[in-house]
Amino acid sequence: MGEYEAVIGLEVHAQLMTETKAFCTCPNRYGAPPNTLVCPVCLGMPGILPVLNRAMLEQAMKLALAVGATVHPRSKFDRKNYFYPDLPKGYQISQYDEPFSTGGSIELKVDGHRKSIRIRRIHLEEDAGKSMHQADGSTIVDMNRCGVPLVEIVSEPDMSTPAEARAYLNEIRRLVRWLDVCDGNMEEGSLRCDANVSVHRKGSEAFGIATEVKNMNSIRGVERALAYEIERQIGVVEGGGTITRQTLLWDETEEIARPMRRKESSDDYRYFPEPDLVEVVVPSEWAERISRDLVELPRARCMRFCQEYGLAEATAEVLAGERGVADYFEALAKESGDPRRAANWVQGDVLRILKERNCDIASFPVSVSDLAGLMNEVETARLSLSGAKKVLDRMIETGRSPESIIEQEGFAQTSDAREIEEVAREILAKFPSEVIKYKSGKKNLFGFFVGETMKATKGQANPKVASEILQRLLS
Amino acid sequence: MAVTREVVDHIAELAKLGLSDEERDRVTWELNNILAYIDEIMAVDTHGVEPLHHVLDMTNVFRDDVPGPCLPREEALKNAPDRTEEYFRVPRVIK
Repeated sequence: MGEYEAVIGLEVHAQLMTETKAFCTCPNRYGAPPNTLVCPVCLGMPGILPVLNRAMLEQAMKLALAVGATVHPRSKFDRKNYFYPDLPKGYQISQYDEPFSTGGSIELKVDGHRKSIRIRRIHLEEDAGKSMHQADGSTIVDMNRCGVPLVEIVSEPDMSTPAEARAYLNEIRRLVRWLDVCDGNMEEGSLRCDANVSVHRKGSEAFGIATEVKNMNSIRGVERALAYEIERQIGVVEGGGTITRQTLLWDETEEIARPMRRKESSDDYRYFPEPDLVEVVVPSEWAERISRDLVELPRARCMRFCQEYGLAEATAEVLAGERGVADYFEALAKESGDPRRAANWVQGDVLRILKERNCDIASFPVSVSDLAGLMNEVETARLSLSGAKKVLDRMIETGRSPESIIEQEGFAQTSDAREIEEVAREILAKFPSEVIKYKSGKKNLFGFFVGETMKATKGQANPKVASEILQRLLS
Repeated sequence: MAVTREVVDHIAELAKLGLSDEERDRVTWELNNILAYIDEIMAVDTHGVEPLHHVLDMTNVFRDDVPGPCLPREEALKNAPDRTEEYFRVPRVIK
């Protein structure tokens, strides 16, 4: 970016995880056959009346309170009017001048520095249907998504690099998942992001003209689209041109942002109060109850992991990356009585297995008590650490208990000195010339003897005991 | 504020309505009449009166988050001017 600075603000839409839509009783579910989750209300038939879903409000309140926002005692809904085929009523029910929540912030850590990103507002609205443009030039529309409850989270323009935007989105995603209010799936569109970005010369008081970038469907996509657009704007300014206020659509495959062709007049939304919905009043006791019932938030949990279990901050942050993982770790720490080893297992093997199998912690097949049992086998030296890791992999593959795998597949480690000595003697007898070389000074052959002994016992010999025996036999 | 023909054209464009010359004239005349009536209301002194958001003296009308029946797809698509087996079909909107 050189002598330029960028100013970035993000608008995030998150689909709430309610059972039903915002204003009607149709199920709120992704992936159903097209146009099967619809009713007269969400199809905008004449004479319909919306009724607000209480769970929508409560989930949004959880999020607002978790970011330290103010939930206003009164708010109302407005109609945002625009004409598009995926919006059958001709207006979206949203909140305009009296959003239910303002303020709050998200704390980031980017490349070692901390930064607080202020949130301007969080408001409630409904999603539109999904239109798909066909090769023959027509457009087909699925209304299943129409009326699904959304929160729109509008940040202040406090970010200055694409990396900060990525960190902000990661944090929002972690938080909504942590609070169980949104599944955070950007590919399926349950979390979406639009970006406003401008550039100006460093030290200049005035900000540049911002453009809006849309259509990014991954966090990486947002980062790349912003890098592209910042670069483009700097190029325009450097070339003596001016930036025009416009909306660009990010093309993930071509990795370019193209101006969206649209008439200026279409941005005239003619907001007015929604006469079909009455005001929402949130007494302070209600907000206090939601606040009291909030789960321990990621940052607090991370800090507690450091203090209570003596973990390094980097480790605690990985473990607190997702609530399910944090819960699993904490249960394992308690069950095994060894928090640091539990942290190593979860951070290392559990997360590796989840990644390999592309599944989440909720469907991780090994129970906390089985893994604690495995840790105990290492503690008592019945298993070597690498043997235990192999047993874990076999448990995942076969779904069998650690006991039966250890017994039937011979992973048990032996510390029986007599047994190991027998094998060690055989090895030394098998490699007489190596023994001579060792005795004449090639001491680095020692590892070779240990390795051969381990191999001969199929890895079951306790390596510590084997070393001691070999030392003795070779001296 | 007087509603001009340009304002009417703009609103018609936003609503994707095609108006004939005759209709444009009539709508312009009607909208001006409506606004003239609003002007009369605006003349009332509302000093010290709280803004009214809703004519009903009610707040917090909620429903529980419990699913109800949906329309069968055939019913949902029945009134559509154009459709496929599963979808509404509309003219191309993005060029």
